[in-house]
Amino acid sequence: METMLEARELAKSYGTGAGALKILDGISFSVKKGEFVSIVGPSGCGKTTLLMALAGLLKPDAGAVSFKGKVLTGPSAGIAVVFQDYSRSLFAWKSNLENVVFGMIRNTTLSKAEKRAKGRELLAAVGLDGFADHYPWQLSGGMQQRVAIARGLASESELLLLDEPLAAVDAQTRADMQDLLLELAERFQQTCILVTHDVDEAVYMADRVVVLTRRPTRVDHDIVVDLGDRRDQITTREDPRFLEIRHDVMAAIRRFRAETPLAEKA
Amino acid sequence: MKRLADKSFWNAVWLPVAILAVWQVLAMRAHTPLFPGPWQTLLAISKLYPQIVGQLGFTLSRAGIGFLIAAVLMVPLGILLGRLKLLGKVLEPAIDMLATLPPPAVVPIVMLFAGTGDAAKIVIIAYAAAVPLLMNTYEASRTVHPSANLVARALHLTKLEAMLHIDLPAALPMIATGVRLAVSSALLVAVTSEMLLATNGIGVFIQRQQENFQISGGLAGIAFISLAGLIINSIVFQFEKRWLFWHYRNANSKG
Repeated sequence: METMLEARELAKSYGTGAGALKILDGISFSVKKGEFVSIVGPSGCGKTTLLMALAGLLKPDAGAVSFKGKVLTGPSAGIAVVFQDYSRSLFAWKSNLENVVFGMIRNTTLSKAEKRAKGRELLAAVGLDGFADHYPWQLSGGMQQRVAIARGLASESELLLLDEPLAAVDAQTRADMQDLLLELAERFQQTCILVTHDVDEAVYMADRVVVLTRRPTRVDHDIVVDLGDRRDQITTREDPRFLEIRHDVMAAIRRFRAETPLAEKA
Repeated sequence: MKRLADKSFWNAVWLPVAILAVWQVLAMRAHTPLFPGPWQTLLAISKLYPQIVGQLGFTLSRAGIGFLIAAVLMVPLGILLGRLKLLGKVLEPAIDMLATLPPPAVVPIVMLFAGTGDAAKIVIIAYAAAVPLLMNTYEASRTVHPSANLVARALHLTKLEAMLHIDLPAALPMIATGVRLAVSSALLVAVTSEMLLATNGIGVFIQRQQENFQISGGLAGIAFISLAGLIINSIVFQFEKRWLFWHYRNANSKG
């Protein structure tokens, strides 16, 4: 299958000289078209930095990201990002529909009316039919994040980068949103990269889990999740194979926690 | 519910009424035209109001024009400086310096270029209104949340689009505060500039009245300025309610 995204030897430091903090230290992996890849790692390992680099929002010091064979020099059409901080990444002065339509701002083929129609379809797809004319601040956290996902899909992306999108929603909503994301990824043919600190979520959702080391960060493991395409909140999570993979991922991350000096854990 | 409304009405009204009453008593005891009471002021209003309204018209139209010029120039400038960080940093000290300069102090300089007519006054009013508008807009635009900027970049917005679709609306609540300050500055300086560059307007009227020891006439003029201020403020408030509903609701929601 065709490679959608490839990271080659990505490196990034913050600061210079003796006080420089090396965050990414040669990260390489690739994502094929249609894959759902989770990225997990110990806290503070630079997951968000990595995602920003993959999105073209952050220039790496060394190495390169290529999207569909072309090296990224900045944000690219075809890549949409869903941020963790939905309340600030949605615009309070725009209705939910206007927020979603705003995702099509670079779209020149659709007319205004067509964009609004598509916006309504996308809101329906994320289960918010009746909320087009409401404002984001009138919705719960999970619903706001669904608006943000609809906006991401609106930009006609092929690659959806998800930066801990469910970190701020409650546990029950979270399970529903995981299934919704999987369903949307299939329906809209999105290749997805999910950054998360939740190991269960990472394994449940992904075809592959990329486990990162602690800072300076490299790829520690690249684990194939052979649990089939159909996932179920109850049966998948009870599957011995799920537990096995979860064990491996957790063990890898815990290993780094043990190595981390106590002072840094806090 | 009705009772509560009655109560809050009296809470708002008793202090002004008490002040007026005390003032009237003191004025009656002083018994001199140099210390008129509310009643004498009311008489002066009934006698002078056509003249006052006419003069106030001059003042308000200059204040309005000066304010509009300031708003049209300073809001876009503030947004621009907030987006072009380097330019903002270069100009910030100059803005801070101008901000501390009292508008009456620039009157002689403006006179050199614009004389003493309407143009001079409008320039001074615009200058006074410009400071709070520019500072508030710049500060708000400079501090737009990084998340909003990431979204702008992820959607490949141009700088102009980001300013129009994100910076400006995000800055509106602080711009509104700037507008309130600018409106009161504009009114204040409109009256002051008339007193310094006497031609016409309510400032001239008040000054003439007081110079002729018609204190009650002066007070009548002041009453009209206050009234105009109140009306303008409530108009501004209506606009805020219309355009900033999302901001006020946002503050009340659980987020």
